[in-house]
Amino acid sequence: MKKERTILLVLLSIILLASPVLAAGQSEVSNESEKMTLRFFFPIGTAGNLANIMTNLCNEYSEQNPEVSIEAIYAGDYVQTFQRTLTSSRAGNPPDVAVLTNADVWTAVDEGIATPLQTFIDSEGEGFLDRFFPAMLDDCMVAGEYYAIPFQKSTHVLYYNKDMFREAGLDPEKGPETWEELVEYCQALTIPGERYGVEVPIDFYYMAVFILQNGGTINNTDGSETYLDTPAAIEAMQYLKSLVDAGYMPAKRLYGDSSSDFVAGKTAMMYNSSGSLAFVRDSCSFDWGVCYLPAGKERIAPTGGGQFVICQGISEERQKAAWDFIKWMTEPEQAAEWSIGSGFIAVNPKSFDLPVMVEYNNNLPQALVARDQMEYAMGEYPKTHNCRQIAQIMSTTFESIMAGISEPQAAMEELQKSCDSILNKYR
Amino acid sequence: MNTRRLKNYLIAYLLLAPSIIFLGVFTFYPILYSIWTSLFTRISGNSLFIGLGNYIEMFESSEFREVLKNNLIYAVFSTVPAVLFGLILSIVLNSELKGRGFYRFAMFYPTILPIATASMIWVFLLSQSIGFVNHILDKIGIASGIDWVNSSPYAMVSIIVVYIWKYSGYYMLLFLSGLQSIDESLYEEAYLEGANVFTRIRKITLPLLSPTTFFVVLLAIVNSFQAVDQIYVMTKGGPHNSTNVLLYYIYEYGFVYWDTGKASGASSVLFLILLTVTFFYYFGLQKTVNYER
Repeated sequence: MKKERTILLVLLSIILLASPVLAAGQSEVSNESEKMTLRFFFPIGTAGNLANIMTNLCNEYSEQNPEVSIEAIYAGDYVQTFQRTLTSSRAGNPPDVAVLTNADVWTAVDEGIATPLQTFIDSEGEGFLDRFFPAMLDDCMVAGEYYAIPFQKSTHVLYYNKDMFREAGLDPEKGPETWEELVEYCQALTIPGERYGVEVPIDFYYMAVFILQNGGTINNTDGSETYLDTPAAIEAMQYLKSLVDAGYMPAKRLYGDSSSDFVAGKTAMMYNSSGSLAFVRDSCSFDWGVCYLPAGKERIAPTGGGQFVICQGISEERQKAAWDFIKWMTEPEQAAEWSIGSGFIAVNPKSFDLPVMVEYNNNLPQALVARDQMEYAMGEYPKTHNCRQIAQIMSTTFESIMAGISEPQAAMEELQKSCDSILNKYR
Repeated sequence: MNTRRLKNYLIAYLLLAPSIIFLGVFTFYPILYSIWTSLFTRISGNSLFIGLGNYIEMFESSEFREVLKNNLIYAVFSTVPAVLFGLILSIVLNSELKGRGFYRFAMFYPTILPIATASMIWVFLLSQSIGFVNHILDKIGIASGIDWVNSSPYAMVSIIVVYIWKYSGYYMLLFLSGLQSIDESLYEEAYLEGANVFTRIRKITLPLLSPTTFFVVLLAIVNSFQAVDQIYVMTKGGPHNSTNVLLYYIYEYGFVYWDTGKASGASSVLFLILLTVTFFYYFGLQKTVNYER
């Protein structure tokens, strides 16, 4: 009697454990029949109620297009969003649309989970891509072919403390224009042991920015070769190292650290994303401004962020619906709504003429500097296969150069060798 | 008689079945599968058999050797102080002491915090410009302006400090439960014989506590090889790889670079290390443990 009860108990628990699996399988079927539900994975790099804004946008779309509903699924940061996109695609249950950062678009293409978009672009007729800032399209291509459409993009600007500029006898309406001027400004603004002249985030992104500004190249279009041991690259690193050696700049900061140092008055200037504008506005007790990034041999404004990708492994009908959704999201009104809610630059230049956007920019005039800088903009580098790994070893090398652990020349040569060994299987 | 025995066996297996299935699906199968995966590399989405290529590449790269070295440093310098600290705390807080409950709670509470939250708190405490730690160090004149999480070797020190702070309270609790099972009368007798505090600890407490110590040390070593969350939150393995440890390396290769071959290879290495440590520890030291009560 007792034994039978135990056996029953065991069987019961097995059924209980298995039931969620069974249930999950069933709900899948019922969704498909009525109306089309597109699953949309989106990341949020910064905090806030962005998830709500996104849900509102998606609901708005469903109201206008009753046959389709969008299920907006917050998937973590960029890395996590790609993790979920890739693993669900591998498991045969891909999302229809995902927002991925440039590096992950490359991996998505290599893993065969992203749909080429040229046919969709062609179907819209000539000039469809003119609705975007041209530089934003850089990050949508893998080895010269379109796999993505811009969505949440930011550029980087130089933030500066106007009060400190006045105190040091500098013109508060004008930031440093060139690398040489940046050094002079740092000299005037640095107080050893108390505040830095400038802070630059030490990661692959800024390594690329400074090399590009110095006239260098990061990689070829195929993404199978890097050029990181060129004189232009080494010189760029030496320039930054000289700022650290002079005590103008800390050996390591990242984006968040820099913002908190800036608002705490621990640094007079910082390189940072236009995404930090709202944070700085809300946290600063002093007069501040932004300007273009100082130019080296070239004036280059970097951009970054996320773009839409349509997944493989879904029906043609769903892909078409996904394309329609993406198109809708990048119309001036929606681009403006997302820009105002999130702080990203509206991807559609026409957004800037809308009354809501004009009002927003009146309250945050610094945001217009970011827009105007788009003239000099360029996509996010590196753009290669195994992009995340290349980026990581670039960051590591950058850190060790700035910390004085290795010499720029030797470190960059070593870096180039490591990149070669990672990329040679793609040649 | 025989059928009854058979029935007993059957029931035993049936009862074990759920855990065997779970262990099989979630532990044994993945271990074997990851060893299998480590023999492949992926190029443009295709798997290619390369034998021990991943292992050779790994051990030839300075990055991986550095990761192993970092992990060793981390394991030694986090395990030893955390266990010692836990032991001392437990002995102190096992004696008659006013407000004992409060101190025990105060020492234990970091254990309750999720490690990600705890790490984030420490990131702020250790900030170079606005951090409390630098503020205090500056006030008492020991050091000023140390860039804790951003510079080497301080980044490693920071991570170790967080480990010790987080886990010594937990080890204290384990030691406390061990201490409470030691017979009071032994201490009384020793006291009457004229043994001082240190002799009593050395001759009574430590030997009788050895089963607990044995367990705690093993737990601490395994914990130290499982560190990943606080590194993810505090340093991301940086600066220049100085806080990159095995599990974080596996995470990066597996889920950021999607180089599953390398990640599986590194997992197998980690598995081997833990197996070896556990094996030698278990069979080498078990004899020295005193199970007499």
